[in-house]
Amino acid sequence: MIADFIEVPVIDGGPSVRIPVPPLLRVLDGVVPPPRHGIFQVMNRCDGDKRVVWNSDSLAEIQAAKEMFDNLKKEGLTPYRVGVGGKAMSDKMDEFDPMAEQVLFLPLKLAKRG
Amino acid sequence: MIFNNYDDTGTATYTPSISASIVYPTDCSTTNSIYVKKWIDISTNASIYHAKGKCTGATTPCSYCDFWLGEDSTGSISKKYILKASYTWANDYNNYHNWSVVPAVPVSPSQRLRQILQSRQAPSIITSRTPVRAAAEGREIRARQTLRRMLGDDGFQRFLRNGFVSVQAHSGKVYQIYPGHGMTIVYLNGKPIEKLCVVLEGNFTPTDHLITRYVMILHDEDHFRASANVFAAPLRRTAAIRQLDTRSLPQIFHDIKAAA
Repeated sequence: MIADFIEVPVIDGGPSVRIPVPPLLRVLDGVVPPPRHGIFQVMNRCDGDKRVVWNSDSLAEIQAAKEMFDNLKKEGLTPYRVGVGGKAMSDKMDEFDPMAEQVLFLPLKLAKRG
Repeated sequence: MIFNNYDDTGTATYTPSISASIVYPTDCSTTNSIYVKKWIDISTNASIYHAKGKCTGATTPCSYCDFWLGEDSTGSISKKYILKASYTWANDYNNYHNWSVVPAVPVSPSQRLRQILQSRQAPSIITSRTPVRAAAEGREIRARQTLRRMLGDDGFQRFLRNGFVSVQAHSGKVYQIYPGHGMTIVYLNGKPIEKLCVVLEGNFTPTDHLITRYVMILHDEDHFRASANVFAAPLRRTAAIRQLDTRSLPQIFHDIKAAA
Protein backbone atom coordinates (compact mmCIF):
# COMPACT_ATOMS: atom_id res chain seq x y z
CA MET A 1 0.00 0.00 0.00
CA ILE A 2 1.38 3.39 -0.98
CA ALA A 3 1.57 5.78 1.93
CA ASP A 4 -0.33 9.01 1.42
CA PHE A 5 1.52 12.24 1.64
CA ILE A 6 1.01 15.97 1.49
CA GLU A 7 2.94 18.10 -0.93
CA VAL A 8 4.02 21.16 1.00
CA PRO A 9 4.36 24.30 -1.12
CA VAL A 10 7.78 25.45 -2.10
CA ILE A 11 9.12 28.12 0.21
CA ASP A 12 11.78 30.45 -1.19
CA GLY A 13 12.06 28.58 -4.47
CA GLY A 14 13.33 25.33 -2.98
CA PRO A 15 11.98 21.90 -3.88
CA SER A 16 8.57 20.96 -2.52
CA VAL A 17 8.53 18.76 0.51
CA ARG A 18 6.42 15.65 0.99
CA ILE A 19 5.00 15.18 4.44
CA PRO A 20 3.66 11.65 4.98
CA VAL A 21 0.19 11.27 6.38
CA PRO A 22 0.38 9.07 9.50
CA PRO A 23 -1.23 5.67 8.83
CA LEU A 24 -3.80 6.22 11.58
CA LEU A 25 -5.20 9.31 9.87
CA ARG A 26 -7.40 9.43 6.80
CA VAL A 27 -7.31 11.64 3.73
CA LEU A 28 -10.78 13.03 3.06
CA ASP A 29 -12.14 13.61 -0.43
CA GLY A 30 -15.16 15.63 0.70
CA VAL A 31 -15.01 18.72 2.82
CA VAL A 32 -17.18 17.89 5.81
CA PRO A 33 -15.50 15.60 8.33
CA PRO A 34 -17.48 12.85 10.11
CA PRO A 35 -18.93 13.74 13.52
CA ARG A 36 -16.38 14.07 16.32
CA HIS A 37 -13.53 14.37 13.86
CA GLY A 38 -11.14 17.24 13.36
CA ILE A 39 -9.81 18.23 9.98
CA PHE A 40 -6.53 19.61 8.68
CA GLN A 41 -6.73 21.42 5.37
CA VAL A 42 -3.32 21.99 3.87
CA MET A 43 -3.25 24.48 1.02
CA ASN A 44 -0.95 23.47 -1.77
CA ARG A 45 -0.54 24.02 -5.47
CA CYS A 46 -0.96 20.40 -6.45
CA ASP A 47 -4.41 19.59 -5.03
CA GLY A 48 -5.84 22.98 -4.09
CA ASP A 49 -5.88 21.64 -0.57
CA LYS A 50 -5.38 18.27 1.00
CA ARG A 51 -7.72 17.25 3.81
CA VAL A 52 -6.79 14.92 6.63
CA VAL A 53 -9.17 13.93 9.40
CA TRP A 54 -8.63 12.48 12.83
CA ASN A 55 -10.97 11.11 15.43
CA SER A 56 -10.99 13.40 18.43
CA ASP A 57 -12.09 10.49 20.65
CA SER A 58 -9.03 8.44 19.86
CA LEU A 59 -5.87 9.22 21.80
CA ALA A 60 -3.70 7.48 19.21
CA GLU A 61 -5.15 9.55 16.38
CA ILE A 62 -4.78 12.75 18.36
CA GLN A 63 -1.15 11.86 18.94
CA ALA A 64 -0.66 11.21 15.21
CA ALA A 65 -2.43 14.47 14.35
CA LYS A 66 -0.19 16.38 16.72
CA GLU A 67 2.87 14.84 15.10
CA MET A 68 1.62 15.86 11.67
CA PHE A 69 0.73 19.33 12.92
CA ASP A 70 4.28 19.80 14.17
CA ASN A 71 5.77 18.51 10.92
CA LEU A 72 3.70 20.85 8.78
CA LYS A 73 4.53 23.77 11.01
CA LYS A 74 8.21 22.91 10.88
CA GLU A 75 8.08 23.10 7.09
CA GLY A 76 6.92 26.68 7.22
CA LEU A 77 3.15 26.41 6.99
CA THR A 78 1.09 28.54 9.34
CA PRO A 79 -1.84 26.82 11.09
CA TYR A 80 -5.05 28.73 11.69
CA ARG A 81 -8.12 27.58 13.51
CA VAL A 82 -10.92 28.91 11.35
CA GLY A 83 -14.62 29.23 11.91
CA VAL A 84 -17.05 27.26 9.81
CA GLY A 85 -20.59 27.95 8.59
CA GLY A 86 -20.14 31.69 8.33
CA LYS A 87 -18.50 32.20 11.72
CA ALA A 88 -15.79 34.72 10.89
CA MET A 89 -12.94 33.52 13.06
CA SER A 90 -9.26 32.99 12.50
CA ASP A 91 -6.82 32.21 15.31
CA LYS A 92 -3.20 31.43 14.69
CA MET A 93 -2.28 28.22 16.49
CA ASP A 94 1.04 27.89 18.22
CA GLU A 95 0.27 24.43 19.49
CA PHE A 96 -1.97 21.64 18.38
CA ASP A 97 -5.40 21.70 19.97
CA PRO A 98 -7.33 18.43 19.72
CA MET A 99 -10.58 20.37 20.15
CA ALA A 100 -10.01 22.42 17.00
CA GLU A 101 -12.75 21.67 14.53
CA GLN A 102 -10.97 22.88 11.43
CA VAL A 103 -7.33 23.82 11.01
CA LEU A 104 -6.18 25.50 7.84
CA PHE A 105 -2.48 25.42 6.99
CA LEU A 106 -1.48 28.35 4.82
CA PRO A 107 1.81 29.01 3.05
CA LEU A 108 2.01 32.54 4.41
CA LYS A 109 5.70 32.77 3.61
CA LEU A 110 4.65 32.84 -0.02
CA ALA A 111 2.40 35.85 0.54
CA LYS A 112 4.01 38.95 -0.89
CA ARG A 113 3.17 42.42 -2.08
CA GLY A 114 1.32 42.28 -5.35
CA MET B 1 0.41 28.66 -35.87
CA ILE B 2 3.20 29.68 -33.59
CA PHE B 3 1.97 32.50 -31.48
CA ASN B 4 4.99 33.56 -29.57
CA ASN B 5 7.92 32.28 -27.68
CA TYR B 6 10.02 33.63 -24.93
CA ASP B 7 13.17 33.04 -23.04
CA ASP B 8 12.16 32.04 -19.56
CA THR B 9 15.21 33.47 -17.92
CA GLY B 10 13.32 36.73 -17.55
CA THR B 11 9.88 38.24 -17.53
CA ALA B 12 8.28 39.34 -20.74
CA THR B 13 5.15 41.32 -21.42
CA TYR B 14 3.13 40.63 -24.50
CA THR B 15 0.58 42.87 -26.07
CA PRO B 16 -1.60 40.29 -27.84
CA SER B 17 -4.69 39.52 -25.86
CA ILE B 18 -3.56 36.09 -24.81
CA SER B 19 -4.78 35.66 -21.28
CA ALA B 20 -2.17 33.94 -19.26
CA SER B 21 -0.16 34.30 -16.15
CA ILE B 22 1.95 31.25 -15.73
CA VAL B 23 4.61 30.62 -13.17
CA TYR B 24 6.34 27.35 -13.78
CA PRO B 25 6.35 25.15 -10.73
CA THR B 26 9.52 23.33 -9.90
CA ASP B 27 7.52 20.11 -9.68
CA CYS B 28 7.11 20.41 -13.39
CA SER B 29 10.76 20.44 -14.33
CA THR B 30 10.16 17.96 -17.11
CA THR B 31 7.67 20.17 -18.85
CA ASN B 32 9.24 21.46 -22.03
CA SER B 33 6.34 23.06 -23.79
CA ILE B 34 3.01 24.66 -23.00
CA TYR B 35 0.29 25.14 -25.54
CA VAL B 36 -2.61 27.47 -25.12
CA LYS B 37 -5.94 27.17 -26.84
CA LYS B 38 -8.43 29.96 -26.93
CA TRP B 39 -12.09 29.14 -26.58
CA ILE B 40 -15.09 31.39 -26.70
CA ASP B 41 -18.01 30.98 -24.36
CA ILE B 42 -20.81 31.56 -26.85
CA SER B 43 -23.29 32.54 -24.18
CA THR B 44 -21.22 35.43 -22.87
CA ASN B 45 -18.64 35.90 -25.61
CA ALA B 46 -15.99 35.66 -22.90
CA SER B 47 -12.61 34.18 -23.72
CA ILE B 48 -11.33 31.19 -21.83
CA TYR B 49 -7.90 29.71 -22.27
CA HIS B 50 -6.79 26.16 -21.87
CA ALA B 51 -3.13 25.52 -21.31
CA LYS B 52 -1.69 22.12 -21.88
CA GLY B 53 1.87 21.13 -21.19
CA LYS B 54 4.10 18.30 -22.17
CA CYS B 55 5.32 16.57 -19.08
CA THR B 56 7.67 14.00 -20.55
CA GLY B 57 9.15 12.58 -17.38
CA ALA B 58 6.08 12.38 -15.19
CA THR B 59 4.64 9.02 -14.25
CA THR B 60 1.30 10.42 -13.21
CA PRO B 61 -0.77 13.20 -14.77
CA CYS B 62 0.25 16.54 -13.47
CA SER B 63 -2.36 19.19 -12.84
CA TYR B 64 0.12 21.94 -13.63
CA CYS B 65 0.33 20.76 -17.19
CA ASP B 66 -3.35 20.83 -17.95
CA PHE B 67 -5.35 23.68 -16.59
CA TRP B 68 -7.77 26.40 -17.51
CA LEU B 69 -7.00 30.04 -17.32
CA GLY B 70 -9.82 32.40 -16.62
CA GLU B 71 -9.99 36.09 -17.04
CA ASP B 72 -8.80 38.34 -14.30
CA SER B 73 -11.09 38.83 -11.34
CA THR B 74 -12.89 41.74 -12.91
CA GLY B 75 -13.76 39.70 -15.94
CA SER B 76 -12.07 42.17 -18.23
CA ILE B 77 -11.43 40.60 -21.59
CA SER B 78 -9.25 43.29 -23.06
CA LYS B 79 -6.75 43.35 -20.24
CA LYS B 80 -3.22 42.47 -21.23
CA TYR B 81 -1.41 39.92 -19.16
CA ILE B 82 2.14 39.34 -18.23
CA LEU B 83 3.77 36.03 -18.98
CA LYS B 84 6.07 35.35 -16.15
CA ALA B 85 8.59 32.58 -15.78
CA SER B 86 10.15 32.25 -12.40
CA TYR B 87 11.84 28.97 -13.10
CA THR B 88 15.29 28.86 -14.60
CA TRP B 89 16.10 25.77 -16.59
CA ALA B 90 19.24 23.95 -15.73
CA ASN B 91 22.29 24.28 -17.95
CA ASP B 92 21.56 24.12 -21.65
CA TYR B 93 18.08 22.76 -21.42
CA ASN B 94 15.67 24.10 -23.99
CA ASN B 95 15.04 27.64 -22.86
CA TYR B 96 12.12 28.33 -25.12
CA HIS B 97 8.47 27.57 -24.81
CA ASN B 98 6.31 27.67 -27.82
CA TRP B 99 2.87 29.13 -27.56
CA SER B 100 0.24 28.25 -30.06
CA VAL B 101 -3.20 29.67 -30.38
CA VAL B 102 -6.15 28.07 -32.03
CA PRO B 103 -8.32 30.75 -33.59
CA ALA B 104 -11.52 31.43 -31.71
CA VAL B 105 -14.59 29.52 -32.80
CA PRO B 106 -16.71 31.97 -34.79
CA VAL B 107 -20.30 32.47 -33.76
CA SER B 108 -22.65 31.55 -36.57
CA PRO B 109 -25.38 34.00 -37.61
CA SER B 110 -28.09 31.69 -36.27
CA GLN B 111 -26.32 31.45 -32.91
CA ARG B 112 -25.92 35.21 -32.83
CA LEU B 113 -29.61 35.72 -33.51
CA ARG B 114 -30.48 33.20 -30.83
CA GLN B 115 -28.31 35.10 -28.35
CA ILE B 116 -30.07 38.34 -29.19
CA LEU B 117 -33.48 36.75 -28.76
CA GLN B 118 -32.44 35.31 -25.40
CA SER B 119 -31.06 38.64 -24.21
CA ARG B 120 -34.40 40.30 -24.96
CA GLN B 121 -36.47 37.88 -22.95
CA ALA B 122 -35.85 39.72 -19.71
CA PRO B 123 -35.30 43.34 -18.68
CA SER B 124 -31.71 44.45 -18.93
CA ILE B 125 -30.10 44.65 -15.51
CA ILE B 126 -27.30 47.10 -14.95
CA THR B 127 -24.77 45.98 -12.39
CA SER B 128 -21.14 46.69 -11.73
CA ARG B 129 -20.60 43.32 -10.07
CA THR B 130 -19.17 40.35 -11.86
CA PRO B 131 -20.46 36.96 -10.77
CA VAL B 132 -17.92 34.22 -10.26
CA ARG B 133 -17.70 31.81 -13.15
CA ALA B 134 -18.10 28.10 -12.81
CA ALA B 135 -14.89 26.43 -11.70
CA ALA B 136 -13.37 24.30 -14.44
CA GLU B 137 -10.42 22.93 -12.57
CA GLY B 138 -10.35 20.35 -9.79
CA ARG B 139 -8.08 22.41 -7.56
CA GLU B 140 -10.35 25.43 -7.84
CA ILE B 141 -13.40 23.31 -7.06
CA ARG B 142 -11.74 22.04 -3.89
CA ALA B 143 -10.72 25.55 -2.88
CA ARG B 144 -14.32 26.71 -3.32
CA GLN B 145 -15.56 23.80 -1.21
CA THR B 146 -13.26 24.99 1.54
CA LEU B 147 -14.45 28.56 1.19
CA ARG B 148 -18.07 27.43 1.25
CA ARG B 149 -17.52 25.59 4.52
CA MET B 150 -15.92 28.68 5.99
CA LEU B 151 -18.48 31.22 4.78
CA GLY B 152 -21.57 29.07 5.09
CA ASP B 153 -24.08 28.58 2.29
CA ASP B 154 -25.48 32.12 2.37
CA GLY B 155 -22.08 33.76 2.37
CA PHE B 156 -20.88 31.52 -0.40
CA GLN B 157 -23.91 32.32 -2.54
CA ARG B 158 -23.18 36.02 -2.06
CA PHE B 159 -19.60 35.37 -3.16
CA LEU B 160 -20.78 33.63 -6.32
CA ARG B 161 -23.24 36.41 -7.05
CA ASN B 162 -20.98 39.38 -6.32
CA GLY B 163 -17.54 38.01 -7.13
CA PHE B 164 -16.02 39.04 -3.79
CA VAL B 165 -16.18 38.33 -0.07
CA SER B 166 -16.79 41.10 2.45
CA VAL B 167 -15.54 40.73 5.97
CA GLN B 168 -15.54 43.13 8.90
CA ALA B 169 -12.31 43.09 10.87
CA HIS B 170 -11.81 43.94 14.55
CA SER B 171 -11.12 47.60 13.75
CA GLY B 172 -14.53 47.98 12.17
CA LYS B 173 -13.10 48.31 8.68
CA VAL B 174 -14.75 46.24 6.00
CA TYR B 175 -12.54 44.41 3.55
CA GLN B 176 -13.81 43.50 0.12
CA ILE B 177 -11.67 40.56 -0.97
CA TYR B 178 -11.46 39.37 -4.56
CA PRO B 179 -10.14 36.06 -5.84
CA GLY B 180 -6.90 35.74 -7.77
CA HIS B 181 -4.74 38.81 -8.03
CA GLY B 182 -7.60 41.22 -7.42
CA MET B 183 -6.92 43.99 -4.95
CA THR B 184 -8.60 44.11 -1.58
CA ILE B 185 -10.65 47.26 -1.11
CA VAL B 186 -10.89 48.64 2.41
CA TYR B 187 -13.99 50.52 3.54
CA LEU B 188 -14.50 52.62 6.64
CA ASN B 189 -17.99 53.82 7.45
CA GLY B 190 -19.10 52.80 4.00
CA LYS B 191 -16.43 54.76 2.16
CA PRO B 192 -13.46 53.22 0.37
CA ILE B 193 -10.23 54.37 1.98
CA GLU B 194 -7.51 52.31 0.28
CA LYS B 195 -6.67 49.30 -1.82
CA LEU B 196 -4.29 46.59 -0.66
CA CYS B 197 -2.52 44.09 -2.84
CA VAL B 198 -1.22 40.82 -1.44
CA VAL B 199 -0.70 37.73 -3.58
CA LEU B 200 0.56 34.22 -3.07
CA GLU B 201 3.70 33.44 -5.01
CA GLY B 202 3.18 30.50 -7.31
CA ASN B 203 0.42 28.83 -9.21
CA PHE B 204 -2.29 28.83 -6.56
CA THR B 205 -5.93 28.88 -7.51
CA PRO B 206 -7.83 32.20 -7.40
CA THR B 207 -9.92 31.09 -4.43
CA ASP B 208 -6.81 30.01 -2.51
CA HIS B 209 -5.58 33.59 -2.83
CA LEU B 210 -8.90 34.80 -1.45
CA ILE B 211 -8.91 32.33 1.46
CA THR B 212 -5.40 33.37 2.46
CA ARG B 213 -6.33 37.04 2.51
CA TYR B 214 -9.55 36.32 4.38
CA VAL B 215 -7.73 34.43 7.12
CA MET B 216 -4.93 36.99 7.37
CA ILE B 217 -7.37 39.88 7.70
CA LEU B 218 -9.45 38.18 10.35
CA HIS B 219 -6.39 37.24 12.35
CA ASP B 220 -4.30 40.40 12.13
CA GLU B 221 -5.33 43.13 9.75
CA ASP B 222 -2.33 45.30 10.65
CA HIS B 223 0.02 42.54 9.57
CA PHE B 224 -2.00 42.10 6.41
CA ARG B 225 -1.64 45.79 5.62
CA ALA B 226 2.07 45.67 6.39
CA SER B 227 2.42 42.80 3.90
CA ALA B 228 0.60 44.67 1.17
CA ASN B 229 1.26 47.24 -1.47
CA VAL B 230 -1.05 50.09 -0.52
CA PHE B 231 -2.83 52.12 -3.15
CA ALA B 232 -5.14 55.09 -2.99
CA ALA B 233 -8.82 54.51 -2.53
CA PRO B 234 -10.63 53.73 -5.74
CA LEU B 235 -13.03 56.26 -7.07
CA ARG B 236 -16.60 55.28 -6.51
CA ARG B 237 -17.55 53.40 -9.58
CA THR B 238 -20.58 54.14 -11.59
CA ALA B 239 -21.80 51.18 -13.49
CA ALA B 240 -21.00 51.43 -17.14
CA ILE B 241 -24.32 51.52 -18.85
CA ARG B 242 -24.44 49.06 -21.64
CA GLN B 243 -25.78 50.48 -24.82
CA LEU B 244 -28.90 48.62 -25.70
CA ASP B 245 -29.45 47.44 -29.21
CA THR B 246 -32.69 49.19 -30.10
CA ARG B 247 -32.99 47.81 -33.60
CA SER B 248 -36.04 45.75 -34.36
CA LEU B 249 -35.62 42.00 -34.76
CA PRO B 250 -36.38 42.07 -38.50
CA GLN B 251 -33.73 44.76 -38.90
CA ILE B 252 -31.20 42.68 -36.91
CA PHE B 253 -32.06 39.62 -38.99
CA HIS B 254 -31.55 41.64 -42.15
CA ASP B 255 -28.17 42.99 -40.92
CA ILE B 256 -26.91 39.57 -39.88
CA LYS B 257 -27.98 38.04 -43.15
CA ALA B 258 -26.25 40.79 -45.07
CA ALA B 259 -23.06 40.33 -43.09
CA ALA B 260 -23.01 36.53 -43.44
